Amino acid sequence: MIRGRMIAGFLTPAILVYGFFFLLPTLFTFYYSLFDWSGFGEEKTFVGLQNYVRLWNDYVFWLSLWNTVMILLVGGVFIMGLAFLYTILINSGIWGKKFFRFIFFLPNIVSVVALSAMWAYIYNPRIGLLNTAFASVGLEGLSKTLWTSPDNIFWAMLAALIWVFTGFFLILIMAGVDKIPADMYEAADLAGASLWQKFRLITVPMTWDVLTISFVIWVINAIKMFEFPFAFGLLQVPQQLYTLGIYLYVMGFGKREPIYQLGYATAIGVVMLVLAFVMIVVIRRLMRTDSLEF
Amino acid sequence: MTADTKISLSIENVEKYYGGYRALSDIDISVVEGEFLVLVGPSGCGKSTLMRCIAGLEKIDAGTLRIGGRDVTSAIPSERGVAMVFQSYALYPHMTVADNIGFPLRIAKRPKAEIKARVAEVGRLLKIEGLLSRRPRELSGGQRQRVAIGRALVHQPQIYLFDEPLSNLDAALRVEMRVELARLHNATGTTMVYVTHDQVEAMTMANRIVVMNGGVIEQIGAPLELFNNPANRFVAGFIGQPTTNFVNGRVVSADAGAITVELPGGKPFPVAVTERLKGPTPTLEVGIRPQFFSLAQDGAADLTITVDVVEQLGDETLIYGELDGDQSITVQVAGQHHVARGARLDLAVDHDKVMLFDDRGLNLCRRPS
Amino acid sequence: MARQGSKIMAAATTALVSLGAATAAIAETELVYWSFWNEGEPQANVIQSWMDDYSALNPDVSFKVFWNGRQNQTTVRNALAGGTQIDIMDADMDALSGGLAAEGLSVGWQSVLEGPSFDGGHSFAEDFHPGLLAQAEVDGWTGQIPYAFYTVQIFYNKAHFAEAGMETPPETWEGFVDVLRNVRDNGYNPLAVESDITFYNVHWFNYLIARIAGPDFLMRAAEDKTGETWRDPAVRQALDLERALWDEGLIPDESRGYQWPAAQTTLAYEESSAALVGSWLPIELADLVDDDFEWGAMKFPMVEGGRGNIDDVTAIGVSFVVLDGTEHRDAAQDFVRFTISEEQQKKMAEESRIGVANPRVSWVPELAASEQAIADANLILAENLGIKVAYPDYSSNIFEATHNRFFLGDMTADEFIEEMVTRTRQYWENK
Ligand SMILES: Nc1ncnc2c1ncn2[C@@H]1O[C@H](COP(=O)(O)OP(=O)(O)OP(=O)(O)O)[C@@H](O)[C@H]1O
Ligand SMILES: [Mg+2]
Repeated sequence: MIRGRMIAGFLTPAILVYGFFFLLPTLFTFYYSLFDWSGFGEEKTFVGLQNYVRLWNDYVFWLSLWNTVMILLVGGVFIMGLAFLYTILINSGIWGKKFFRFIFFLPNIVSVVALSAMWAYIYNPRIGLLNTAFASVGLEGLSKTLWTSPDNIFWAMLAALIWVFTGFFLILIMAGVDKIPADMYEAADLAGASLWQKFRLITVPMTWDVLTISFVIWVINAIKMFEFPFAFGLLQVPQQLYTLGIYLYVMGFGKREPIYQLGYATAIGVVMLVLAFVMIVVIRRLMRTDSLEF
Repeated sequence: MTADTKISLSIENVEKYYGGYRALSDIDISVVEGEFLVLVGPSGCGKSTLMRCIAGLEKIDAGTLRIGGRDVTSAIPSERGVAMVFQSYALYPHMTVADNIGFPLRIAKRPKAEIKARVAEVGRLLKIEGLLSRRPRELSGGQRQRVAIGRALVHQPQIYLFDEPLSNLDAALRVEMRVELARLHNATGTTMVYVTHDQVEAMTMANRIVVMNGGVIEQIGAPLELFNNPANRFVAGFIGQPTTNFVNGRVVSADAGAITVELPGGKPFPVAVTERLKGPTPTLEVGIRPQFFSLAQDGAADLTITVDVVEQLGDETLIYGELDGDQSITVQVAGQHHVARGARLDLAVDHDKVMLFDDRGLNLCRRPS
Repeated sequence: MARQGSKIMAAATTALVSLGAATAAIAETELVYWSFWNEGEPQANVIQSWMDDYSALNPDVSFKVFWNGRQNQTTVRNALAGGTQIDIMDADMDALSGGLAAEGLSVGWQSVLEGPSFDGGHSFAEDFHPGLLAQAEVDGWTGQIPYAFYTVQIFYNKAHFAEAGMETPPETWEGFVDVLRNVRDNGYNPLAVESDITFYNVHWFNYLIARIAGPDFLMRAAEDKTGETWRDPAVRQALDLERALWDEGLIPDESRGYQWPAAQTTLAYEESSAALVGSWLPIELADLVDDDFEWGAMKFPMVEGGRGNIDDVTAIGVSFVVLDGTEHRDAAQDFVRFTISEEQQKKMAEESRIGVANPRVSWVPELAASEQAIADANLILAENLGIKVAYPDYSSNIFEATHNRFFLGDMTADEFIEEMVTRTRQYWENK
């Protein structure tokens, strides 16, 4: 009895803080999503779930959702894959370590705007790095590619985005891999394990906790993805690059357009929240395992 | 070596550098099949490095390695037919004991049934059948040790490499595991190379001991050979416990077969030598193991010390004292002796066991055992 | 230099005033201004000098400025929701018409416009190009005062067009395309197009449909809840004319991959020759072009048999709003009236090289053709012919985005029409 009360006593501040900073805003968000509200002043009209019905019928919403999911999945696979590949390369002591490290860490020290300007130069159809490079090695066909044409621009942006995010997850995963004692791999070498076997039987299971956290962080990042695709659009973000985050912003905060539909934007926010929540629960379920000890 | 003794492992003129630092130089060892070879030496002398070079975890910079007559100098670890037990055990925390032991077989893509049978067999041999479904963290230190050995056993290698396998265990468990390892060696008859810091382990388990220092081999020999007949001052000091006393002695006379020395506060005595002195030498370093002192009868003292500390071990007594001129001396005598601190104690020395070292540290009295 | 002088003057005055306030307790009015410009921009510098000069004339009025930049209206909205006191703000005219002004958060200007101008001799309303004031009006009510604006026209490299044999700008689409063909045959890319800026590209359609079917057609199409108006042959005609620009190589194919400012850079480097864009372009490229580069601007040509007027011109204005929550309405409105005076407008026209509201002030030479277009205009067209203000989400998410897909060749004219019919219907069903 006393014990129970003591536990409650210790937990109360945490619960209050959590409730205040997380639950309350979440509830408010949901509440606002039930209104037609421009955000100018307090005047709002209650519309029930109408905003959600509108979302369901909104082409641009589905496009943004699709883009977001593509970033989440395709981007996720490449980012985690590259981060791991690089980590393994480092551990097998290849050349060019410093070069790769520079390449992957660059985005962490340069502003997003500068990065997107840099990519705009890389992708420029006439004077761009990519096409000039292809032309100089005689790949005339490839050198005519319009990387940022409407049919390519999303993937061009995603490629750049993968590069932007890999460095961060590289740090996380590398820290996890560094924690694995070297003799784990040496014992495997003695047994004749291939790189792939070492990766599958040692690296992955022994970085499981780091991986879980990386996935969760990535899911959160991907679902609220905004900054980079937005900046990639430079003056105007083309619809091909809309993510849920960008669409929320466009609908709620009117960039050049006087679209001021804060209630609707809030409904998008609620969808993002639910999506993130579901994804995280799924990841934690799928990746649940006894914690490891070294 | 005669033609009929098969050489299991042959290390020829091996050198190893870490950057500019020479970790091993001119290492030359032949290990006979079935031999139990122990590597000893101070920390940082290159024991682990040598083991890792044998295993192929490090590349050597010069020399040749042969295992079972085959040149494996540039072979990858798994092709060398060695199994290594790490000081840290290197067990996989996310695998059960059975999976840990079966790991090399799994890597080799052996059939599941075979893996299961081999693991069970090894488990029986090491008396860990009951632990096969546990994870390493649910095991005691000694049990983990067995699992690590089990993983090496399952390989069925030509050579086992043990790098300080018992150093994480408590004293009682060490004794137990030591005996079991010896039994295992007898049972399998496989060549074993074993690194240890423990004198007792080295003396009791080894067929031969390699004493290393600063990346070079000081001496290779059977345990008693090293004890009785160290090649130099380093080996004399390293092998045997408590460690050998080194005292400056005055050379009274030097003949072909004997040198007469005088220790501080004692009277001169002759020591039989096998090497000649080169040139006039006023003093020599005299090595006397603590066991080779006895309490002197009146007037027959070879040297006299001032007693500092006395340790009673029951069956024997350790006396720590100082010669005139601050040189410290350890004395080990059988039985129980009560000596007051600060007392003057006359000691006799077993002259036949005294060692003399020249200025390069070479033992001048190599006596055939 | 002069500006700096006046700044120092003003600073000295301000110092004196505040001294005075301390001693003689003059009633002090502080006007809070949230700006559409960023600190350091030429426009911001001019506005700062307006405030300084105004304070010099009215020692009891001082200003507090926040240089918020282009997101100003959103920033102001959020601040207002938090109860912040703001007296004056500025933003894109159309954005204001669909935002603060539409929300009734700005004060009305009718009586002030009917009163005298700052310079005297005529009413305040006569300080404006008539079409501009009309554009500032929503449902007969004026909630904003435009002080500067841009025109959207075909800006071109005079040398290239002279080389192509153009003496006077063509007045018909046919004539226009003929000139472009000559430009192309001389080895230039006639038209520069940024693939990603939908609100640049959509001007082609807007002008064409306005010239063909009149300036009110687009609003009709947007407001037709069945979407069927999009099937009007005029739409098809406009689309075909746009498509032909690409098909004839008057817009190079690789423009599909140009991200702003890639295309306008080719204009500056004289690889391409013209663009349909706002009058900010000559200023934006001023540092890139050669010294002898000469800009021309022409009115968007007529389409044969069309119902529009060649003098109708699209303008993008910047306006002041006095917020209805202000406690200094008179002072704030007086200040805005002051900024439209000839002397103040002249500063804006010359120092920030932008078109200004007051027709008595002439513009910089690069914008001579723009100025002429405004002088000739019967009607000033709003962006996207008004639907941007009336239905901003439709205008941006559906109309502009879909048009861009058509324009860049992602869909055919038929597909565009079908898509617009469907999406327009869905838009209204979903409203
Ligand atoms: N990877 C390495 N890079 C550089 N120097 C190394 C490396 N590994 C070992 N050394 C150095 O080589 C020398 C021999 O190291 P080694 O580990 O073989 O010693 P050891 O005899 O096993 O010592 P211990 O008894 O403490 O285990 C040491 O001086 C050590 O600092
Ligand atoms: Mg070691």
